[in-house]
Amino acid sequence: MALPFTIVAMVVVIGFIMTMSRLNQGVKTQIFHTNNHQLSFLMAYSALSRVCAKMHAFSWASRPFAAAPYAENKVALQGGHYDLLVENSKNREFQADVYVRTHLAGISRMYFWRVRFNDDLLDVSNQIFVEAFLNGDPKDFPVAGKANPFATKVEDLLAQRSANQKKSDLLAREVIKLKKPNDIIKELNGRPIEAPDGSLPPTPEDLALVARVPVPLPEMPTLPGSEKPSAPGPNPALPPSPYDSMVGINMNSQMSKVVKSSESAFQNTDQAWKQIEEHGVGGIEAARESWIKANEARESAFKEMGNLISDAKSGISDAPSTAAAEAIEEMVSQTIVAGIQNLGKAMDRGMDQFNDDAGLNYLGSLQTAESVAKLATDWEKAVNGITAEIERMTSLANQIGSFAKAPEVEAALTETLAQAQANLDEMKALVEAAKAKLEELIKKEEEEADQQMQEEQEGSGDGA
Amino acid sequence: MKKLVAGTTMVELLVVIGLIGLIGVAGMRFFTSVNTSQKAFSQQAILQMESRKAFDQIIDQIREGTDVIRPVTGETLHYMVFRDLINQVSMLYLEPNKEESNRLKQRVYRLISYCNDFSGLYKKENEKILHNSIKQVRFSSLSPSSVQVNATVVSDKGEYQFLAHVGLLNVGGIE
Repeated sequence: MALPFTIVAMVVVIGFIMTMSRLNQGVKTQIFHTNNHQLSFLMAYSALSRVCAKMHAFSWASRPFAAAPYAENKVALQGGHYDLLVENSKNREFQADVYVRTHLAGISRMYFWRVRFNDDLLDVSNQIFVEAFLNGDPKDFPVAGKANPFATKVEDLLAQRSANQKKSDLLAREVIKLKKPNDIIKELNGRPIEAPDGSLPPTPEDLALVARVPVPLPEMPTLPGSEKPSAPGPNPALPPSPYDSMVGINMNSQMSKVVKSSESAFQNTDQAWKQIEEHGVGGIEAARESWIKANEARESAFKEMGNLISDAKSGISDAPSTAAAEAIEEMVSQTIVAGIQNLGKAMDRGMDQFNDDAGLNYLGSLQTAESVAKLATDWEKAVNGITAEIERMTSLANQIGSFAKAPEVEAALTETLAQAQANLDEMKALVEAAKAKLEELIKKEEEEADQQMQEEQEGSGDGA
Repeated sequence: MKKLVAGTTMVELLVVIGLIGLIGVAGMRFFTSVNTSQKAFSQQAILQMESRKAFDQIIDQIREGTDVIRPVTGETLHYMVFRDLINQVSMLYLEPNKEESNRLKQRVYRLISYCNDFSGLYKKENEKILHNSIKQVRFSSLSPSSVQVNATVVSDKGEYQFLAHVGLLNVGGIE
């Protein structure tokens, strides 16, 4: 009697245990994988802390990696293990590169720190600073005594950091004054933030947070005159160079101006043509204001581009490294090409009027030499304008000819100049056609005048 | 004299069958209930997992930064501006996600990261969507080189709140 009952009970219990175990295992696996990222970082940070502790424990001269890289392999920690390599940073005094590669639950990760040791006996609590921290690819974990491409990558990044320092400081100073996210993103040249959909109300908590205005920053009062240093400083006869420390700052502002003015040239040109396309001759008056603005913006863009190139050349010669110089060149050439592209677009917008032989058709519709002469003069003016603009664009392109450029920037520049030349050729062909028609009409009108005169003479002769 | 053989009576058999039936029904109901709660738990774990993957990215990005520009120390804002490893200025901010909002019948946002590379131009490749369905996010600056991130992720599986204290590890020139 008891046997079947016991068997059934056992089956039920075993089934229950198996089901629970399977379900729990799935959840445990998922949670474990999400924890892996954090645990790996903590393992690596533990390894770094051990290195820092060793550096504190010895003097810098007696550090464990003074003569050769210090390595540890497969150090067990938190259910996984890590590999560690510490070496002196190349050509940098009091600096060390720490590489940690963690292995946890089949996943490997690499972390890198470059630390600087401040050998100050009076401030022992503040001796180690992190110069650079990076997540790396585990494959880049270096082997002691062999070439280390990761260290080269770090050097490049630090050179970029150094080149960006002044621009970044200025931008940070501007951004910190702004209070609305949209103003900040605009300052960073980002895309404006979309407005929320009004159909779904925000929570009161959201509203309170969005309405929260960043705290105003304290402003340091200027020092009273008596506290200002009275010494003139070294060589007071020489005024400070406007470029020696402010190159990045000037360039950043100038680059924004180039882009803004060239975009304005295009937008105003587009606006003017839209007025004419929509209202015909009646739109000319309304378009005039946009033309004036477009011309001003174009002149301003050319001027800003010239200034930018000239300042950039000073900045490049002052750059702390070749990589930093190349970074400046790439930024400047990219901005100049963007400016030229915008001006090219404005020119193309004007040439849209001649699409589908519209220019020749209009010329064909004119029947008097006077109207054709006026059109030919206008078109010649356009040819002169385009020629002058292409010359200025080519001159700018030549000035940045030796600058480093990304391939797509180079391609965009070539394409824009080729398009401008095509516009010029098209315009010249139209002028030639207008001149030919003018000659034809003058000849025709002369013949008609002769014929009319002859008829009048014959008429007066008959009358006599 | 005829020997009586001990056997199972019909009544005993019915009682055993009844008991087994009762235990079976109770067991099935118990299994169903456990299964349902495990599924809900599993879905919650998946939401957590997806959210944490996104936040791991955010943490990695902030960790490689040098210093916090906004919020200033002691301040809490719904966006954050900081400098990255190479001194580019980056911003983490929310933008309304209309499609997700309509689907979830509540206002949700995308968490976006945009980085200024000093080119003076907007570049699409400098903009990254870190998460598509955020209900709220707050950044509290605890020092010039650390920030507390508090965010609520929402999906049709539920909500998950995330809180992390992230230290910016590239102290660089700051001493």
